[in-house]
Amino acid sequence: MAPPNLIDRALSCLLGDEYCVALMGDLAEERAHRVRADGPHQAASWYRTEICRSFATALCLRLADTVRSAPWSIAIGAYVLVAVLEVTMRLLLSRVWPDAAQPASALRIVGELPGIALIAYVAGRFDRRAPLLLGAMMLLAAVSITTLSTEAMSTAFIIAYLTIGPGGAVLGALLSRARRTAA
Amino acid sequence: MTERDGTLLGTLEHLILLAVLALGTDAYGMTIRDEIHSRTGRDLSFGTIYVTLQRLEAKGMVTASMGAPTPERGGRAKRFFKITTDGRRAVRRSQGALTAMTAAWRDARAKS
Repeated sequence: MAPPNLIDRALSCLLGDEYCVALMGDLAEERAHRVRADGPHQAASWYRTEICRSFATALCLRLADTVRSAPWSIAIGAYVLVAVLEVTMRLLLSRVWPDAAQPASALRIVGELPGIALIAYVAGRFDRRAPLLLGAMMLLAAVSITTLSTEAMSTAFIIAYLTIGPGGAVLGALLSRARRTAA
Repeated sequence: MTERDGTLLGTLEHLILLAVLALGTDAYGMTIRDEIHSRTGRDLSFGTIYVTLQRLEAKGMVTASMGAPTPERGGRAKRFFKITTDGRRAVRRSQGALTAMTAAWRDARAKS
């Protein structure tokens, strides 16, 4: 029985050609043993189940590897945490210091520096490239917002917005690097 | 973090490296799978084994070489695996950690 072409191709994409050839060869070899031991019907049934199981488990493991190893996924996660930090800061400040809670408040941005550095530090513990990617994403967002927005912004806010986010990320990266060196 | 930094092996990586060590020159997907199944009862899929072997190869813990194609395999070649010095070191480190923690558990049991 020829292997299902679609799954063969999908496995090839997941594992690469060399590993896929080895896997399909192993399946064919095991199937040949099972034909002799259990008969062709049971062997064919085993083969179909095993090829689907192999594809499903390879896909899950590959996805897990990608999430673990990709600095982008960690940086994006860190960016979401920075957004949560910003919303939390605004909510807290709106109760005690309404002026600083305004969207274009330079003081609030400065107050977020330790939090951003902490988030970047934690991201750096997972992947050393993640804090710098986070800094780049924050710089890109700050440049886009300050140049495209039609709302009035003070010079202090623009400077804080352009420097605090990336600066906090670089600080986190340095702390994470110092920790690795010490370890 | 890499294995050189002292990270311990995952369960699958550990089992597969031990199987590669046990099989010597005959370590390829099917024999590795059978060895793990017969010794531990775990029925791993070929997909699981090959993704893990690929990860171990990327980490420099195993090396791979192709065998000759056989008709039984539909004309496909076997991919043989051999453990490297880094792989042996990682196995020793993980085994050492397990042994130490098992000793700690035995000590606690003996005291209670």
